[in-house]
Amino acid sequence: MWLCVRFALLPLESFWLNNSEQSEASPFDHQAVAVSEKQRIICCNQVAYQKGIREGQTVSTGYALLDELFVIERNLLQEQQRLNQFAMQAYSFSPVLSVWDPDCLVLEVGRSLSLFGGLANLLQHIEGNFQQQDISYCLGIGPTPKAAEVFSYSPLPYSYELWDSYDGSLNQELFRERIYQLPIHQLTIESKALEKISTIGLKKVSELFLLPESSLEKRLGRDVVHYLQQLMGKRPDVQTNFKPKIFFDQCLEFIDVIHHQKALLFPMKRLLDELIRFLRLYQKSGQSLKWTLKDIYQKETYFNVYLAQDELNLSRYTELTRLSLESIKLTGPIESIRLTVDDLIDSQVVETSLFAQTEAFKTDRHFAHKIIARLGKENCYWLKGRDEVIPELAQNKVEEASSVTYQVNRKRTVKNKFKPFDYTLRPNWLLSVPQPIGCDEDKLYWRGHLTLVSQPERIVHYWWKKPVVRDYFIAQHERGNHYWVFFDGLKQYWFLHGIFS
Amino acid sequence: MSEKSSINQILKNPSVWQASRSERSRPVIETGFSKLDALLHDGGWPQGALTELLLETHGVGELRLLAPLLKRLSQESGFLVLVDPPFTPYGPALAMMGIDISKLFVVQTCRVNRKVWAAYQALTSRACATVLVWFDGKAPYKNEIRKLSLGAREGQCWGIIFRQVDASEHPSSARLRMTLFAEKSGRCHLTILKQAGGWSGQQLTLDLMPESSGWTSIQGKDWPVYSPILKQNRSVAFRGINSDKVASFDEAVTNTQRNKSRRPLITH
Repeated sequence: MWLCVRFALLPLESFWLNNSEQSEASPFDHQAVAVSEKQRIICCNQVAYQKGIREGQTVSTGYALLDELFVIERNLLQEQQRLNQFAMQAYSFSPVLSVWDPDCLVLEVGRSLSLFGGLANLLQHIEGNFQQQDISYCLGIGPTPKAAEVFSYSPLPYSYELWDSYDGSLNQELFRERIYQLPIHQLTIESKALEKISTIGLKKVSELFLLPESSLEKRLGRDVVHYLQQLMGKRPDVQTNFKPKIFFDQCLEFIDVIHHQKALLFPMKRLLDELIRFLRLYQKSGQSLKWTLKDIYQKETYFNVYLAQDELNLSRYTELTRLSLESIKLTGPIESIRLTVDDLIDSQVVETSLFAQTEAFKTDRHFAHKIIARLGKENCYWLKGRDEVIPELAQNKVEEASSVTYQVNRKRTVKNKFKPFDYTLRPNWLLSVPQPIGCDEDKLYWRGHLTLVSQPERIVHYWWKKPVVRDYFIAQHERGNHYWVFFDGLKQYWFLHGIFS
Repeated sequence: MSEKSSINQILKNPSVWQASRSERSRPVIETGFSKLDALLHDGGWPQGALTELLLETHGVGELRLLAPLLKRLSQESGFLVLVDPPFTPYGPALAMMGIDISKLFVVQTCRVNRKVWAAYQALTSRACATVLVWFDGKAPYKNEIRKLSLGAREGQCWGIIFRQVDASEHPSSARLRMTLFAEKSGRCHLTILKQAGGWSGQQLTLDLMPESSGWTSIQGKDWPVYSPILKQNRSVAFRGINSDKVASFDEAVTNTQRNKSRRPLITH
């Protein structure tokens, strides 16, 4: 048995639900409001309706009818978010649930009846939930999802009477009778198909079923016939189940404000404790903790704490949070703290040897996360190789370590006429910005006299973007050190780029 | 009986010097240079202790000296941490030395206390095989180095610090201290200032750049001369030329004549 919850005024109500969640009444109780899409009114409130505003009118007609009409542009994204929130709430009534855009939730309630003590009780719970939020809804019950949706356009008793509480099932004969009585336009099929049906002269659903399926398919297309079969339960109607997104989001509000950073650690530890329980329950692991501190002036301070994967350790989480908190400057006395972890991934089972410790050192990167937490991620990096000819582009500084390693390209060096080792020789230290060095007619200077000692190596690239023309040499300092210098063909100048260490 | 056992216990302590009787009980990794190994009483870079390298300047061959150690450690478990290196470590060069750079973690700090904190965390984490820390200036850093020594001992890893050669006048708690100077010939002159377990003062010259043997100096007349004006006419490759610095046309012509006598260039 299926239950359809349709939020008829969702385009309108999603606005004030978002804007003033705290207030009990909508801010537009006494004002005519309409929602428009492509310059047509698609939804309006009771005040506007009483003044003659109807669905389908153009916005200019609306203004002509009612001067003080307040028109809002439809926000589909907001509606979807709202509908998903409702789905989350409805998930507590039935696990078999699907979201039908733009405004419907369809629940399989047959298996929830014994838990809630009958259909009447279940409906009472569902209605109570949505009434509390001051949202308009319509309910419909049917043996198929599509029938439930169709009945949701009629008052609830119309479909509720199908329920036989003694048998614990829906009365199929009555269902057929009720469906047949419905007007054609109540079917949720395409408007073009509806127009075609009305041109044939059919007005009631019963008349549609009198026609043979083959002729219906010929006139209206296969989709309509499939719709009718699914409506009556003669064809399977597979639904995509809604799965709630799992994330952790908890907030602690203090009765008294907190002035000191250290005092914040206690409530933070409490939230982290909750988080660990949550992660263990769902067998997930988080990648970063998002902390939000709200002060008495309603100003929010955010900071992220990065975690090593697959570790559930309260003391580590607390330590990393403490280190990150040290670098935060509080803007005022803190009123509430919030912890959000939404980038959850499935925990991986780590296979470890039961008896012997084979490795001399541990392989976890907790020390790195600790250092990053205190010094900031801009001051810490791992190296990652890139396949680039330009020396400074041949590596990246990355926040998180990867398993990518360099592969020395030996093939190219063998082909070369010069000694392979000479050719691939690179300095251990690279200057992030090449430094200009002094040059005379035939002398180079950088903190002393430099002599070029190696064969030149020309690097020419990116002629289509930002041309690079460089001749690289190894230069020996008068002290004996070796440097990597190049002559820039475009700037016509010598630069120091690396140091052999 | 009890006296004898207590003496045995004391003798087991690796920090007690026993002259020639001392056994090389401390775990070490060979330096990769047999001459240097022979001079070190431990026989290599000591594990669970701090090694101090005093440099005349950056680039005297300190990383090449450590390359065999870093290569070996990067191939086993444990990370390599660089705290406050003076320049960006260049991955392709380190990879060519055989170091797995995916294990290399670099930390940049602005204050000494943060540097010591970060290095200490890495040393004691038991996840880092080696931690390399660079110190600036002549300051003695007595307490800081003592703390890092303890950290290296606790984490049983290879702690290595780099300081300026001027700091050699200050005492240090590092187990092994040596100065590195570059010689005019391009070799590296090494003096052991302090080593546990025996006398110090040994000196050695190492050729850390064996590739340099075939190098000859290039005279000014063989330097590259680039003639962008001639190429500019037929290629869009040089549109980014700064007109102020472009050589004059006559110069460019003479340059091309000179180019003919030049050796060919390696081009990518």
